Amino acid sequence: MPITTRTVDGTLSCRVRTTEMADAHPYGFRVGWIHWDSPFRGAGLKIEDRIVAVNGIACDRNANRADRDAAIGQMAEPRRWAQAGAQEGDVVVLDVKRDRELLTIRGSLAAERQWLDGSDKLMSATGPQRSARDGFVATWASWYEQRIIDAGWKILDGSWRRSRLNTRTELQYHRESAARVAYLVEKYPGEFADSVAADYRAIEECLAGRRYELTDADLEWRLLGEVRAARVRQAAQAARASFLERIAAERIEAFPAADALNSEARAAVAGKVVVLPDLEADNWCMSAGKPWILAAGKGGRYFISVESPPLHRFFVAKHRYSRSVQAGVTDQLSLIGRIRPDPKMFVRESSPLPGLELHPIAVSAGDDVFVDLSDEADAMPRFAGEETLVNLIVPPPADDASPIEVMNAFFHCLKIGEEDDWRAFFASWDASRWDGRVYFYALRGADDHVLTNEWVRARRLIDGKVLEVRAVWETEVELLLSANDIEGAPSVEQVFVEVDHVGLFDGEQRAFADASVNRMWTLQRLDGGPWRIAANSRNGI
Amino acid sequence: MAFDSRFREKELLLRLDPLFAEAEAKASAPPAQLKMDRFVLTQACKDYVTTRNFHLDLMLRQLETAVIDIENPFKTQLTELTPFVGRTFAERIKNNGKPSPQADLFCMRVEIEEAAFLAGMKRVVEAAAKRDYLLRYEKILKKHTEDLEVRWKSVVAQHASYDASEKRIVEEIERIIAEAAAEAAAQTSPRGESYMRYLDILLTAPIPLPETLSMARTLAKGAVGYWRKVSDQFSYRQSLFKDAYKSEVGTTLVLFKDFRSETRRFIDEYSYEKAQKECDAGEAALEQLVVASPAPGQKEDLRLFVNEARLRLRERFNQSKWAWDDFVRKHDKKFFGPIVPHIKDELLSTSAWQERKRSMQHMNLHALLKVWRDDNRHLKLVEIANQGSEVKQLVGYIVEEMVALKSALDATITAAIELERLNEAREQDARSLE
Repeated sequence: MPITTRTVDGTLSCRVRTTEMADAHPYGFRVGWIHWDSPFRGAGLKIEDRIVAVNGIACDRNANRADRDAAIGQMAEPRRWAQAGAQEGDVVVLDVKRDRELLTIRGSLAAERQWLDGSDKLMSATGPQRSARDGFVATWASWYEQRIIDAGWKILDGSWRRSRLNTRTELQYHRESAARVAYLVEKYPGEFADSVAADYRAIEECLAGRRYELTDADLEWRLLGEVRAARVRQAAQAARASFLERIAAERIEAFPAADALNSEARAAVAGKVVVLPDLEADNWCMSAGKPWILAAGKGGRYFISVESPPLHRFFVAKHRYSRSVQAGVTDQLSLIGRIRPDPKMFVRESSPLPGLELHPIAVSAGDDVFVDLSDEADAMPRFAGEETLVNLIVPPPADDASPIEVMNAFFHCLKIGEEDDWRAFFASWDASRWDGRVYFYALRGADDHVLTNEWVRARRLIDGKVLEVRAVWETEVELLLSANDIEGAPSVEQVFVEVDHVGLFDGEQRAFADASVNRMWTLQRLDGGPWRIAANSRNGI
Repeated sequence: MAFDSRFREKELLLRLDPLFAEAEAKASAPPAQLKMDRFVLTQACKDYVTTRNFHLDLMLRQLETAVIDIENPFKTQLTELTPFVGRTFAERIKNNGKPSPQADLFCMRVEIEEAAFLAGMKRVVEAAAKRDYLLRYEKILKKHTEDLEVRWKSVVAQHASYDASEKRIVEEIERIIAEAAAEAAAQTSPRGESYMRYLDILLTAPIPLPETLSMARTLAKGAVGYWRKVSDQFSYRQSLFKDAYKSEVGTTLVLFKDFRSETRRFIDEYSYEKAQKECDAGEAALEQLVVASPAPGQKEDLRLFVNEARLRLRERFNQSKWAWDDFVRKHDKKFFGPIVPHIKDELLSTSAWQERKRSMQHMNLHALLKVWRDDNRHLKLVEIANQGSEVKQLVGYIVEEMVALKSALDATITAAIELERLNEAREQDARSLE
């Protein structure tokens, strides 16, 4: 039976589907789907392009509802062309915004077609029959509508990024159609089958997510905490043992301590090295407004100036440890020092406390941190094992850092567990545009317990299924609110940043999305200041 | 009386009339909605200013207290007050149906102005930090004043113990010298069995009699024995004295100098000028609060607040100043500045030592020893010993004793010189404190 083709009256259009972008600048219609038989397939038009003008006429945000319904890709588009007296094949020129580019794309109008094989309607000139199942559950027509067109519109036009679709579940579901696509290509080869296969692959690729090959260095932050601590602890213990060996000849027992008020006894020990027993945080005393560590034992006591250059260098190293290895570091100190020749006397509870002053040459914090301070010329001594660590301490982003840089810094704080710094990335205001009006609330910092919950949740995810999180794309900056749109208000600029959350699936590192992670982030800034995460994006990860 | 200034409230209420007139003229919302909006906003103005005043009053009270840290409570209060603005205006109006655009704008404007006020309140937190500094300053100053008193007593007590042993040693030396003087007087007498008399007989007689030689030798031996004993005792005490002195300068003086140098650093950091500067900075920060607030009503309220806060800050500064004055009164010319003589005397017993030195000089040890260490007699005796072999052996014994005596006397002189040097060193130490 010969196959006949006929056009359907009143369906002349560009054969695309679009979504109105009411608040976009410039206003337009986002392409969500391009039909397989559309003249714009292969013309350069892409899903997610924003059509801002048609045949040189800009899309009008203020047009009436009926005209907007007749816009390109909308339900009533054929009416627009009918009213204009357009014909099949008439050229249509679209001005399209794609990222930061403005493109001109030429295509033409086409009417919807029907193919008949006798009384049976076909999907295309090469089949299959719309109502046939070919052993599958659904008919070809409903399968194609749901599993290709709807899925394509949902997935490829980016709405999955704005919602919280589970890409892995969707991918699994999508792959259920693989056999049917293969069957179509084999049994009904032709332009339609090829387009279905191409759309299938595009959707699959999108859902599978960007592939990553993260190095050990990229994932070093995951070792923060116990793994890194164990590694550093081992280095600390070895370094301390080696240090003790080095000073063995100069070492004397710390206690009984020499009589600080006896100059001969003092002279006998001056310059010698002692290893003090562990000192607790309450072993401190104040003299003339300065803190000193006090180590008392049999026969006397030793004093160590907390503000002495070597001890200051130790505390700087310890702080680096807490940022780059694990946050909780004991306050207990184990100190090795050289006895100074002159005595010291402090006062505690109105009693004079004479003792010997120690010049620290090495200090440990518990078993975890050991710093050799014996090289006075070394202004920034490292803690033992630090040289083996990938540096995870990065400076905060500059005030003029890009939105992507800001987001990556935000995620870095999350990775290394710096909650206070992480919190500082959230905007303290709430600016939005709604229903044609702008709103600016100056005092809308994130609620403390919301951020606390988000922090806990995000930390759990980053320690678990999220291997990596990276900002990958940012939109153009748009002006949300001009200065003095509202009396006294600053100007507010806005940008959107897209983020990849990377997980491990079937041995591959792939970007994914689901309800637990937020892919699109809104950032705003006031009067050209630093970018901050907007009130509508108060997510942890 | 609690702080309760309400210029801001009046200012906000006055804005409502034109606002709702415009909303009515433009029919921005149904009349019932506008009426309800007005009611809500009127109440919000009152509630907000009441709460704001509560926090400002609490801050003034905290400024009066002696709590060591009010900076953090101030920050907490600002954290509490900040969301209250939005909750009182915008949230209430939102929960009241669909407000008119004018009501929304009113809320947003209030929030922008109060955001500026709250940003300005960070300067009040700065002022609170200055008050905390002044309180810490006062406490540290008081503690250091007390610490120095304890330390002073301790070093003076240590000095007293060293001084007592040094004094005892010197007295013993004086006694030894006095005894040596008496012995010298006895041995230089022209009568009786004195060493000098027999030595003279020996030197003047053409042929010394064996008895004379024997007696002279016995007496010379006695003198050597005596002076060796004196020399040993003198040297021993001199070394005891030296030890005591070294301990004293090596400890008491070192500690005292350390206290002074620590106090010098302390004054650099906690001088009165520093407190003054911090207080001035606190007052300047408070002034900025008024400048930072954009609305006239805010400025008027905050002017009153700032005046009250300044009084409290100034009062805290006065306390600090008194602590400083007390510190200066107690420790000036002792732990800082030139040391006054009586302090030096307490620390080193300078006057007592000058007296002891004079007393030792008066005993004239050198003159005393000169009597014994008679080089002329010694030379003559050597000549006699060389005259004939018969007397040579006998006189030779006496010459040997005289050499031994000379050595004992030299040792005593050396110890005496060392003692003088220590005394000079002591004076030097006293001068080093000036």
